[in-house]
Amino acid sequence: MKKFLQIEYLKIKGNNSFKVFSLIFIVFLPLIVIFLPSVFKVNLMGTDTYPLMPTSASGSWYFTTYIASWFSLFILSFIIIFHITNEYSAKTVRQNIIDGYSKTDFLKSKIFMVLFMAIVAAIYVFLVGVVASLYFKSHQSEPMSLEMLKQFGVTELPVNQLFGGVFDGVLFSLAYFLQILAYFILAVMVSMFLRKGALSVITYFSLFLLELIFVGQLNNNGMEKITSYFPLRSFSSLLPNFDWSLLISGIQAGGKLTILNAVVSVLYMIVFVLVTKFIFFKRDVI
Amino acid sequence: MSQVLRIKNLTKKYGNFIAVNNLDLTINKGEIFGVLGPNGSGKTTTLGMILGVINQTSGSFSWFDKPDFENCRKDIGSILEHPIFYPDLSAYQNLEIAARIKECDLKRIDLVLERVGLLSRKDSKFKTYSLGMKQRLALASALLSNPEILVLDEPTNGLDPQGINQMRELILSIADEGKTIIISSHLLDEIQKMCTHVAILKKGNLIKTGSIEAILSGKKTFELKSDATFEKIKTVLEKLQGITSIKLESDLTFVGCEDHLKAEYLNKVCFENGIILSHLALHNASLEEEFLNIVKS
Repeated sequence: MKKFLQIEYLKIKGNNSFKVFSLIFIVFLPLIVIFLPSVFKVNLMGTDTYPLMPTSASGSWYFTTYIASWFSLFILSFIIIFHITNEYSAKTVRQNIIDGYSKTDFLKSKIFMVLFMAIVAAIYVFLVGVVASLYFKSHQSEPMSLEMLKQFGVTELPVNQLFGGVFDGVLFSLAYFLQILAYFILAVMVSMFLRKGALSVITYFSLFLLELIFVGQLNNNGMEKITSYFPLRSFSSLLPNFDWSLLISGIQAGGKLTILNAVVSVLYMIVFVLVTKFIFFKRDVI
Repeated sequence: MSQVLRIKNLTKKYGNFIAVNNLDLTINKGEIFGVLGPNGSGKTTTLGMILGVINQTSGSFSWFDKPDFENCRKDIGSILEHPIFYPDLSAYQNLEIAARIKECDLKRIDLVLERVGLLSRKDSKFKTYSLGMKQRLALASALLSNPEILVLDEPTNGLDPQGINQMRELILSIADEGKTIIISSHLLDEIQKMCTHVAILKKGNLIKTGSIEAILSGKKTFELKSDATFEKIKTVLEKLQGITSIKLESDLTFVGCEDHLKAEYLNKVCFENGIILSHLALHNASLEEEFLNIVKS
């Protein structure tokens, strides 16, 4: 495994877009997580409210990983897609194999690389989460006073304690890890199937849209039980969207990681890897 | 002599198109084996299959008489088509990737770069290299693991005469070390100058294989010139035993014949029939003519 990662590292060294995209993630994730809640305010009946301000430890962790998940969907998946399709456009896949990699070795090197990157990203997100939860704790800004909230039928302030809950942190970071790994593996599959950069990026996003439309149609026919197990839906529900109707009292934790969701996602990842392997072995390396 | 590569009934089809048809070949240790054929005759496809990047439709091949190909990959150094490297990495970094894949000592990198004369440019990016340098870098990469066998697909393709010469000398000096080399080319001159053995392919079929001498021997061609008309020469010589072809090119008549026919005999026959030759010489049969003959028929 060390050998594969070393070789992937050597390949990445000359890749400037890799460096730029990673830097964007590293710099902008903490900036957005920490400053967006205090900047984004809504004036409600003469009072400034901060609807994105997390009000609990789990809310803070949820918010951090949720923002990070948008980075993994866009920027980080780009890195993977272009890293792999570049190997095809420069024909270096074939050179690697002629040099002595077996097809299995090549596939392994890519899977190990995305696994490694997912682990590093998850650790980084965890560290950002620690800093963010400490910051929100010190900030202690309540989104609204209790008096105001009463008008909306809220009888007590959200729990404003327990900041820095390590268990929540680990749970959300794990959900983040599973999700980014799933996105990466999807990106690997799409790129190794299509072999062209721009086409892969477009297809990668189209898959999300298509599934959304398809799921919407099925849901209209009352098939929610089936659609919630669709692959991309399972991946995104690892860190679900927040409920806008509850934002009035600050960010609450979205759905936490369930074992069922984790298992379903892992199964899909295994299937995707097997499909990729099948395609890669079936075709000539051009 | 031990067998290095044995190919049995190797076939590759792309849909209905047969790129390589039932190819049988054996290559022994120490040979410089040329795979010769016009463009599109299946040379690269064949090499791609024996290197494991193209899946064969049917048939098999074995390296070093071992059934398992995966374990021999690192003992084979190869160039397939044009040189392929990571454009934004330097020569050294590119070879480092190859060296790590081959699991060979990183100290070899400087050695092979020196061998192909690129050591002074080792930190330049690959994309700044000229074609000749790229080809030499590809050869350096193939030499990294000091392999027993080299597979070179058109190693001089696109090079200028100086580059071709450099490359040829490099290949011959490597062959002197007793390594087995498989070279594909559509340049007959190239194969004739470097190879000991040759296989000629046409539209995926193996036309002929053997040592260069064997392919060229058994036949020779005389060129002759006379004031007599071509028709007269033809009628006279056609009756002789051992004559295979007679043809006129500009003012020279080319007479193909079997090996045992002597110039003296030819001259005597002509003179006796009233044809006085002003020129009679043994034509140097090149592989090129032989090749063109084979391909035409």
